[in-house]
Amino acid sequence: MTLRRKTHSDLRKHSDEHLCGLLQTNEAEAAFTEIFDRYAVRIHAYCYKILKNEDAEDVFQDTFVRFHRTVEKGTEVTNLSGLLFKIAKNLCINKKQSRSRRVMLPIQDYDFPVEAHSGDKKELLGLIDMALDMLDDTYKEAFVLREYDGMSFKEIAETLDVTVSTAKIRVFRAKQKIRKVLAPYTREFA
Amino acid sequence: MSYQEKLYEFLEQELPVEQENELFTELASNAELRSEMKDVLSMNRAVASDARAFTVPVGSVKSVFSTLGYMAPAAVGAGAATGFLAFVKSGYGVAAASLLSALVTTGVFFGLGGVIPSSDTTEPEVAVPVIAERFEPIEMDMVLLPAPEPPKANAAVQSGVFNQHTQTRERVGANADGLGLANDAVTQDKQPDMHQGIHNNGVVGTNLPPAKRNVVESSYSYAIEPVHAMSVTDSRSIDVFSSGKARPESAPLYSLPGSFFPSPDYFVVEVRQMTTWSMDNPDVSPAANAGPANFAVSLGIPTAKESRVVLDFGRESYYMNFTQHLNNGGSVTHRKNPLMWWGGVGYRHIFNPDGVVQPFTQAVIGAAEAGPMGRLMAGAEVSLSTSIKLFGAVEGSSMFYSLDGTNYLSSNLGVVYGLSLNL
Repeated sequence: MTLRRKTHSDLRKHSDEHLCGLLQTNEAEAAFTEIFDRYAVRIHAYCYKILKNEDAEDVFQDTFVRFHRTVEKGTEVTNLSGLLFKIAKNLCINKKQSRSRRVMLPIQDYDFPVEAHSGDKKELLGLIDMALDMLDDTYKEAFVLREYDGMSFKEIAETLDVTVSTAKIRVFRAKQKIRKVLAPYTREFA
Repeated sequence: MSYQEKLYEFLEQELPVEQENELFTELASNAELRSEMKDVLSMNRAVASDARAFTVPVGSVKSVFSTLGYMAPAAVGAGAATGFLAFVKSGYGVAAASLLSALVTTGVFFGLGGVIPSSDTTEPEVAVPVIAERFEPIEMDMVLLPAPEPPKANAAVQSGVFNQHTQTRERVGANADGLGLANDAVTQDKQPDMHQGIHNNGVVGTNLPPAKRNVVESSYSYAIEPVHAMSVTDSRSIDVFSSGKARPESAPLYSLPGSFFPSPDYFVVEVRQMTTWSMDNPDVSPAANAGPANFAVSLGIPTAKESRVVLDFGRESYYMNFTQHLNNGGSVTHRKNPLMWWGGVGYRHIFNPDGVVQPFTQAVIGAAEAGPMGRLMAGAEVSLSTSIKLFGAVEGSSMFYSLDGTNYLSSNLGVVYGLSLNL
C-alpha cells in the first residue's frame, strides 16, 4: 500500500485511456498533468500554426479545460489524441469565425515559442508560414497534423473524419502548394 | 498514380517497395522531379526543426492548471522538458559537479575552521555559544576564582539550558573545586537530577564585564557525575554552559585536537519557502516560481554566537534563455523556466544574536543542475522560544551556465520565509 499520492511521473507508463479513466477519481490531478505533458506541445503547435496569433493561446488553454470538463462528466474516451485535436480544431474554427466578425488588432508578439534559426532557415520558415496561410484550411490542418504533430495518416484521418487516402492526398497537396509558393526561394537557398 | 505522387509517398515512407525502383529510374532521367524532391526535402528539414522548437508558454500552462484548480507542473511537455534537462546535464555532468562542489567547499570551510582561530580569541565575551545569554543580563551573586586548574574527578559542573525551579538557596562550594567556576554564584537546587546528562562546552558568568568573566570549555565529553544543580537569583530562564575543564580566555571556542569537525552544542535546521522573481524575464514570475516546489532546507552549524556555517539545498526555477546550435547549421533558442535542484555551502552572520529580533546576512556558493551559482540573503530571525525561530529575508541568486561555448547568467530575486529549529 502506498501512502503518498501519485504524481504524474508515476503514471508515465499508463495508457491514454487509463489516464482518462483516472480523471474521474482522486488521482485526477496527476492524470491530467500526465496527459498535458504528453499532448501540450503538439496541441500548442497545432493552435499556433492554424491561428498564428494570440488567439492560439486562448484556444490552446480552452482545449485542455474543455477536454477535462468533458471527461469529468463521464464521457468515455477511446482516442485521446483524436479527442484533443478535435476540440482544438473546433475551437480554431470558432475562433476564425468570430475573428472574421471583428476588427483585427495588431498581432501581439509572443515571447514563446521562440524559433530562432540561422538566417536562411529563418527566412525559409517564414516563407513556409506564409505559404501555409495561403492554403485552404483543409490542406493546412492536414499538413500541420502531419508535420508539426507527427500524426500518422491513419490518425489524421480519424481526427479529420476522412479516409486515410483523403488524408494522404490533403498532405501531399498541401506540400505541393507550399512547394510551388516556395519554389523561387528554395532554389536560392539551395 | 503520377511520379509526383509517388515521390511524395516515397518521402513519406508510404510508397510500396516494389514501386521504388520505378521511381528511382524516373528520378535519374527527370531533372524537374529531382528538383521537386530537393525542394520537398529542404522544406521537410526546415519544418522538422521548426516543430522541434515549439514550447508551451509558462503563462498558458499556469492558466490551464489554475482554471482547473490544479497545481501547475514545474516543466511543461514531458519530451521537451526531459530532453532539455538531459541536454543540459549531459553537457556538463552537472549532478556530479554539484556534489563535488558542495563536498569541496564544505571541506574547505571545515578545514579552515580548524586552522583559523575563532573571532572570540581576543574578545572572550564573543565566545559565548549562541544559545547562551539569550535573555537580559541576570544579576548573579558571583565570586570569581583565580587562574583555572585541572579539574578534579568529581568537579564537573553541569551544562545546558535549565529553568530555575526553586529559590531555595544553599551555598555550595565543594562541587567546583579547581574549576575556576564561580561557586558562590550558584545555589543548590532541590532537583539535582534535572541536570544530569547534559554535556559540556560552554561558559558561565558571561553577563559580567569581560575582566570578571571566567570562561570554561572542554573540547571533549566525559562522564559527568550527578552534582547539585544551579539556580540563580533571577527566576527567568538562563542558558548555562559548563565543563569540567578550564579554558583560557584567549582559547578559541572550537579547538579541534584530533578532530576535523567541530562539535557544536546544537545544529540549526531551517526549512524555507521561496517566491522568486526572474530578473531576466518578468513574464515567468513571480507566479511561475511560487508554490511549494520552490523550497530550501538548511543545516546550520554554529561557529560562534553570531556566526554559523550553513549547508543549503533546495529547488528553484531559473529562467534559461540560450541558443542551441544544430548539426545542420541551424539553431534553436530555448526559453525555459525549469525547476532545478541546487546545493551549496555558506556563511551566516547574525548581528544581534542576543535580541529577540536577529538581523542576519548570508552568502552561499554552490551549484544548481545547470551550473555554478551564488546566493545572497538578508533578513531577520525572530525567536519564538529558545529553539524555534521564524524568519523572513530577501534573497538574490545567480546561476551561471554555458552552452555551445556561450556563457549565460540567470538571476532571481525573491522573498524567503520559514521556520528554524535548534536541534
